[in-house]
Amino acid sequence: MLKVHEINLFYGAIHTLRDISFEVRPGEIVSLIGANGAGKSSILNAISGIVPIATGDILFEDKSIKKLPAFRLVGMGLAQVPEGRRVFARMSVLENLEMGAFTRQDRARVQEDLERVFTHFPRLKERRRQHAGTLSGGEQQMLAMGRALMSRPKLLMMDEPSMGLAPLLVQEIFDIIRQVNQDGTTVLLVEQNAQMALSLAHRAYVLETGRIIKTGGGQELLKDEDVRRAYLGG
Amino acid sequence: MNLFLNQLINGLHVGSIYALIALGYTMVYGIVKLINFAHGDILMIGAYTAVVTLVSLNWSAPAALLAAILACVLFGVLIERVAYKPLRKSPRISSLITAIGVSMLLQNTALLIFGAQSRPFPTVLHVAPLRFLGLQVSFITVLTVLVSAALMIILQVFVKASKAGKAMRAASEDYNTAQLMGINVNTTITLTFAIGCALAGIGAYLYVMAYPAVSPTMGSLPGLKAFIAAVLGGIGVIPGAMLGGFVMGIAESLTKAYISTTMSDAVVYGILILVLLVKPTGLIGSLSREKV
Amino acid sequence: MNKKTKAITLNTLAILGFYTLVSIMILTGTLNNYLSNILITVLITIIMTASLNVTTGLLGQLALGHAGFMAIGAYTSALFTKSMAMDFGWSLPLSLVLGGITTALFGMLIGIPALRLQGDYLAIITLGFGEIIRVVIENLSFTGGAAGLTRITRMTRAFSEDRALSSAIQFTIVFFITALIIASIFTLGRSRHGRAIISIRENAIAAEATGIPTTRYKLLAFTIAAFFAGIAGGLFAHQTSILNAKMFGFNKSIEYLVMVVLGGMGSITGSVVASVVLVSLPELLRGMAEYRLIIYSLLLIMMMLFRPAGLLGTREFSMLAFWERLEAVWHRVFRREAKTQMPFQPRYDVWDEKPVLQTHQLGIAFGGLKAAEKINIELMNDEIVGLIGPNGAGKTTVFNLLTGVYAPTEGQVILMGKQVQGKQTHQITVDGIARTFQNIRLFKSMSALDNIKVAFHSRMRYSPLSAIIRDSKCLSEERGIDIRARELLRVFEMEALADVPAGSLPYGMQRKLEICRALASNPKVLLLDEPAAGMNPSETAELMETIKTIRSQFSVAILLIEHDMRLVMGICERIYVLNYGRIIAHGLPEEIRNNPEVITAYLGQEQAQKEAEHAQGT
Repeated sequence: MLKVHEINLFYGAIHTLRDISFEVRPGEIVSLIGANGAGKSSILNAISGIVPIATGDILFEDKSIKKLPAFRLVGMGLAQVPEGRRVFARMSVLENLEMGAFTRQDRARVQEDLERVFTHFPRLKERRRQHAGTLSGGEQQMLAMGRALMSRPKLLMMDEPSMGLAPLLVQEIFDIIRQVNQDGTTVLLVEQNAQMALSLAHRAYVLETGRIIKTGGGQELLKDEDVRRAYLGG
Repeated sequence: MNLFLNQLINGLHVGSIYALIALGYTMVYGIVKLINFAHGDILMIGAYTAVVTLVSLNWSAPAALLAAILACVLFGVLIERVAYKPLRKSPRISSLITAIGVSMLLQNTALLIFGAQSRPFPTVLHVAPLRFLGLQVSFITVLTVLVSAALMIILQVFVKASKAGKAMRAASEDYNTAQLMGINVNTTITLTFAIGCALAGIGAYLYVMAYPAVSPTMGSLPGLKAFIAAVLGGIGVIPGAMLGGFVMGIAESLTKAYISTTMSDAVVYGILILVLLVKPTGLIGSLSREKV
Repeated sequence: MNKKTKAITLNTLAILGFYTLVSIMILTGTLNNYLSNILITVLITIIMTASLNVTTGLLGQLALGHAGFMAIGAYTSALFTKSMAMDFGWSLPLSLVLGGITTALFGMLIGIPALRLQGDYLAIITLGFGEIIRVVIENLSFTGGAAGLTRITRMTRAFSEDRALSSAIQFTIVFFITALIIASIFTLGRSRHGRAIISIRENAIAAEATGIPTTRYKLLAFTIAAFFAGIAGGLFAHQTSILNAKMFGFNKSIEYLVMVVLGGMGSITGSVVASVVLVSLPELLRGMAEYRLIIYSLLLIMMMLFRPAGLLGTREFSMLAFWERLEAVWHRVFRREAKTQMPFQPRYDVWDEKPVLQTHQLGIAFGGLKAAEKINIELMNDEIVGLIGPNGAGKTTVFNLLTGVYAPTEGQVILMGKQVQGKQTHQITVDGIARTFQNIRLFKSMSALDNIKVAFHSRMRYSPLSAIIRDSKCLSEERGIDIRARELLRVFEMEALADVPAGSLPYGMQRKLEICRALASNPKVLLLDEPAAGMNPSETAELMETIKTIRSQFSVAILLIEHDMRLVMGICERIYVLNYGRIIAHGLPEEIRNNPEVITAYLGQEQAQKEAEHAQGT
């Protein structure tokens, strides 16, 4: 579904991504784990076109998307839940969700999806008239996820969904990711919480200073000695 | 009493013109956080277009109005694309200085083309003044107030309810995330400038109907006042621009009538300062305190 | 003669040489009146832009009414020399000082209310005040009203019958005043006061939490800028001999602002260069009369498009280095070896038996909504305590109450036996509570070292005047904190990064630096807001070690908010659990782990189990 082929990325003089190649197959949950500054978020931003890559190519359903502006991707079925949630604070919860469906014309099915999001996240339904800025961190994360789901994506990319969330909520968020995946959405997950990210993932890639150094099944990496030592705290 | 009411009506008249211009400031500020110092000069362009098409080309009044609007939109969009867009990621003050540069450029180019002498604007509406309650109100005044109020309401509905309006609001909060939603941020910003400048075009026409003299620097003062009006009402808030415009206009005409003509500016700025000190985000601006 | 001294001699000679050359040219008439007049205008403009750069560049507040200040100085000074029956040689300097002081007073008067506002709103207020000043001058009778003030003594005529000589004296006066002002803005900018002002630009909330009285420093910057603008105004009045309020309108203020930005915000040398260029440019273009302003505005737009950060950005010429070298020579010549003062020992106050920090029924309501209530927390000396709870439970609100960001609507905060609630944040920091922020708030464009130095501010004593003349008090204190700040960085193994701008440090280092900065303010209580956010387990493990080191080395009590249970359960001796603004549980880690209420509200069954397993395993 998504193929990233030898991409390189620079921030000023800093070489953030070096020859990164990986792929996401339909129906999978793929996790990218690694230390801070390893370049995990940069990969997502490169895929969604927010930062331009220097060399390499990115294919989504066999079409190159590296030259496409960021706003074209949603329509193709690629949605992103950005790091730090980034909900539109001065718009209502409902409006935020509507923004997720901005490119869609099929009104009836948008309504359907709205109901579906509300079943995933009942809290959002209760608060749909409220400004998104007044929600708690956990609710905002739910809103950001719901907003991305409103575009009915084929591939959902999530950047640090568990950041700053209480343990109970982390559990909840990961349960929903699993559910969303079971409903047929492919997921690419970038996460600090390696334990969670690996136990959820079909496959995972380990990043270190802008390179992929290891890959394998989620459970397999969970047992890997090096990975345990470096990312799971022993 | 009659004097007072008359002044009040005068104030409403000039206030609604300020309001129209202020709407442009407020919308542009809302989305790109730029004080568009060239906005007043867009007004000047509209006025010149109107006077040239009416007098030199002998167009009809509605055609001239349309031409004025189009010219304003064209220039506004052009300026945005050429001068402001490349600076979107630079410090905000750089675009502010660029806006000042654009303003100077427009004024001096107009000076070169049309000369410093101001041109009279012909009377386009020959309607007798309206009378009620022993007051005499010119038709232009009534028209101006109604037109700007109507435009304000339309704009408010547009921004709150339409898809493009919501895209504007989303983009005004966060460009990158708006793009992730599939919003073309560049187009959205261009649209915002276009709308703001169209309003300035209408404002220009109404302005020269009330003060029939067109000159290269005519935009500076109403531009500055409209900007103050936008801040007074709460910048970024559409009804705020309207309210700010009215307050400015009325304060100005009452000061001129009862205190002193030369002091009216000081009074207006005084009101602005007082309002901001009591309510730091303007009359109906929403308080957005930085979260710690 | 080594390389350094050579450079200084050259630089000094260059300045003196320039002065001598110009003076001779004026005396001999090589520089005619027209040119020397432009030269004076350039110098006055330099004072205006450099002083505006204090508010706009260093403090980071857009000011749109600087010409108004100039007007006050000009009128005060002119009225003084006009009305005093005094020799001009006496009345001029007096009038300049008077003009400066009057303007500074106005600056303060305007600043006190205006500085409550931020960003663009402050800019608008300064615009408003600038215009009010202009209109009022226009309407007063003793200022000559709309007609203006005329027949002010001209410096070119006043000093001698010989015009050339008088012009040369004028040049001397204006040149050295300008040089003095530039030098003092330089030295001030490099002192603790300058750092305080810049830290406000970088992050006002963090500055306040680091112990900087931000309001006072904003006011100081405003007042200094006004003072210098007033002097510039006085010089201007006696250059032109005619004053009219219209000279000081909004457009004039904008003109100075353009120069500041074009030169580079925060770069004083940039201001100097931009003043020279922008004053002479229109003169050079004079031949093209009508196209002049069009070319000028086009150049302006081009400049911004291609160099948005201005000519020099925030860089300075070698002037900075030059100044240091000059100082070195000064000390060598006068053998004034400054002592190194080290008044920056950690607190030794013994505070064992009783809690260091205690709250009584602390609470706050926002418009009827209780964000926190009945919070009772106790922290003993050297204790590490956790504060956990669901998102939106009010944890950060508690931190904000403790540090005075919010004034509590009920209850007390008692720090080492003294009530501190209701005090301002910077005072509470000085009293001994320091904090870090959930989303890192560093002074990004300042170096790591300077970030730390800002936190030493409250324990330094030297005055702004000492800073300007860089006397021994200033030098010894500066040397002291330099040593201390580096020591602190060494503890965190960050010495090598001392000169790196904080904003370009890697994420983990930024977190560390923020903690380091908090410690530099010498706290008795350290509040950490989600220190492990965005860290993976091994980084978190490292952080745990760091926190333990801090406790043992700095003797502080630590209260931390964190969602990472491994960290919380691993190092906290006690834990408070917050939900809906109230404390719902309090106890030892294992008590909290097994508390059913905490499990349903916060931990979740799974996590609780995992924690239990983990605890058994170790």
